[in-house]
Amino acid sequence: MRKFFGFIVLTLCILIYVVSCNEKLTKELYTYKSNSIPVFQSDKWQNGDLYGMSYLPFFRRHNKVYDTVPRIVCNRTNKINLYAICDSYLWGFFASDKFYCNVNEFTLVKTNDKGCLKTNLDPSKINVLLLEFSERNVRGLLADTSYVNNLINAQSTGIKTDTNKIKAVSILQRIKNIRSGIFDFIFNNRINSNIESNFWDISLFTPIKEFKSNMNYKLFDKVDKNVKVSKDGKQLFYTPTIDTSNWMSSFKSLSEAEKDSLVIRLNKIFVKGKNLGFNKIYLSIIPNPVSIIDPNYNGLIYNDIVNRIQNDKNLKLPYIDIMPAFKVLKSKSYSPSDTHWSQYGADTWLNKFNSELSKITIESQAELKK
Amino acid sequence: MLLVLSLIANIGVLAFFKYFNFINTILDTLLGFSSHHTPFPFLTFLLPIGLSFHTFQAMSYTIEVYRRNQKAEKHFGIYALYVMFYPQLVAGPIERPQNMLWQFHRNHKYDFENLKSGLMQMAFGMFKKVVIADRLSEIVDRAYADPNAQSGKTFLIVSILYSFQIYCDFSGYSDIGIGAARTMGFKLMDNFNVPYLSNSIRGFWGRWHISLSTWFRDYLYIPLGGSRVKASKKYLNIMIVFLISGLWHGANWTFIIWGALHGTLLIAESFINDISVKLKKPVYRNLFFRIFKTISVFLIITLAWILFRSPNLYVAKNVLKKIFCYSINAPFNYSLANKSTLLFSFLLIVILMIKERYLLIIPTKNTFQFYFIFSCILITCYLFGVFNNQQFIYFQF
Repeated sequence: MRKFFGFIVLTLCILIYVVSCNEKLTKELYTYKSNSIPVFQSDKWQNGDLYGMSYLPFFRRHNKVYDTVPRIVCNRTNKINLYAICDSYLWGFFASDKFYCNVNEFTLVKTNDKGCLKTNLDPSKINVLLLEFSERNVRGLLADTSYVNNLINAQSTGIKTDTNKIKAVSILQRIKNIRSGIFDFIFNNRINSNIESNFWDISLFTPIKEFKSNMNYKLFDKVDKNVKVSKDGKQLFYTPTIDTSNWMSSFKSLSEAEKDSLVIRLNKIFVKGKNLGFNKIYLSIIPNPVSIIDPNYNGLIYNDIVNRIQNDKNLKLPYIDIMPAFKVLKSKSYSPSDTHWSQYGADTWLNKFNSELSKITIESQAELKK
Repeated sequence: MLLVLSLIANIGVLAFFKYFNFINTILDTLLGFSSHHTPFPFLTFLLPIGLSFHTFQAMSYTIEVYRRNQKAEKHFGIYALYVMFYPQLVAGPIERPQNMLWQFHRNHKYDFENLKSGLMQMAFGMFKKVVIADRLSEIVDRAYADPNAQSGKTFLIVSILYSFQIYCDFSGYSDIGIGAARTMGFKLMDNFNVPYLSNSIRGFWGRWHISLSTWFRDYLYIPLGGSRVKASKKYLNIMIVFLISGLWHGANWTFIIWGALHGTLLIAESFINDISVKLKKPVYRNLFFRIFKTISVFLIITLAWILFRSPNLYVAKNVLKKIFCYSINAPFNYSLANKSTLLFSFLLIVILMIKERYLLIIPTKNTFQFYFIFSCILITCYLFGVFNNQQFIYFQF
């Protein structure tokens, strides 16, 4: 009996290990768990990403009802083709044309994957490009020269290809793929997080995780290293947005020279976009929660990157300035247990952007009348 | 001749990977006095994992075969397994062929008693690592991240904590390694025996990293003449051994001076003992004196660890200066750790020392007791463990 039990445990361990070595199987298991009974479903991202890192029970959402802001009623003239290069602030909330005024077609490219926009613009429409960065990503992304250079490009068509060459390359590529597949399986550098996700990321264990978290917080004032609790204990912040040595930080000093180089790179994207045929290009930088809620966190000095870029006299791009509105709303703009904004904050931004989109159509109608 | 070739090959690999850049830096500094630079480029490569450990283990095999204490192994697979046996590959214990090779030839059957004792040792090793060492490392690392901001009192407390961090980190790894081997039926040598309860420096080295101390004793100190030579030669031998031991730990002046310091302490202790024997002075054996000696030895070793922990001599000098200019009014920096964390850390240390003193190996004969204690340790590890991907300190060697 003891041997049998040992054999079962060993088999299960090997199974979890093998599944964790393979990204595809891990994803399959995650999907399978998501569709199974509630106790086996993942609890990591359901209550906010910062909750998923810290498991502090008082930041669990508990189906709270939050205030909402009424959205602007949009016209549906379908005159605009909207292209957005954006991060999770946008694609997590407004990833469809139905949210935007007068928009006919909506194309989205995620900055998280360092994706680049290949455009083939329709000249009969007003082509609008939105560059949306969160404050925590703007410095890191714009510092990457090749990313900035390739961010937007015209879509190439009709290029002749040598099929024989492709075939030869593909055999080599296939061998390479097999080799890298084996290496990725044996030396998967995500093995720890995969094992944790496959074995431990189920709602059944949530009470234990919350107990541990709460105990460590109450006894030792200790939370997960990726998370910081605000002074009043009502908001979670993402540590890299506070850590003064991190690019994402609101408190990492920003020299004038660096700010100027960021503006130059934004202008470069603007000029390229204009040359490609975009009628309007907007910039929107969404501030970090800590920049709005506690800009003097632990006596640190806010680098004020958003205002400094937006107010730079050399900046050619028009921008969606959300800072003043968020400064009034304060913590209402952000979800207490998430790195992102709340629905209230998101809708406030959307209204501001939609009023800009409405203005464009009015301007273009006036131009047509002339 | 073959022995010399084999040793040169082993030491050559070790020297190339670990000491090339260090020697090159020294050369560059020396040539700098005559406005020249080193002709050799500085190399950047990844250090093979556990290099110092398995090189020494391979050398141990060669020497023992040469001394005819061990028959040459004809099966290459078994020899390779001896050098690269996974439980102790990365950070020891540095085994001897006499203890290991026969075990590899034996047919190992599943043994529940071995499994229980191995798992228990692994669990307690894990407890030492994730509950104690990694918790202490957070405080220590924060202090060393900004040494100028810390007071003498802070560094004194931090240094004591580091003594236990390195002990729990290294002995924790040894426990996990020895336990993992035991679950498969292999018995590895012990590597630690409550070193901080030693009342002499010599005693400390008999209980700390035993496999390395005995390696140096058997393959360097004794061949140099050991203690059966005149006093001055004996002291020289001790110093050579400790300088090399320091260098073994890493290519940095901090390690070399750390080794030299231990060598000096041991020579001083040996000198006092020799004088006492000559003068036939009675040795105090009462409890109070032994406790006093134990605390003194611990504090001296703690001060020496500062060299081990500091990234360079400049930081080490500053830390020592701060401690020796200790002011009772200088506050402890509570931003490193709040009172409850400090209190809990010291409580863990007291519990550990009591456990190690009276119950070095947790008994596992009674199966019910095993399940109970094993589960308690695992739950404690989960609830109080610090899981921040902190590497084992000795992995770098």
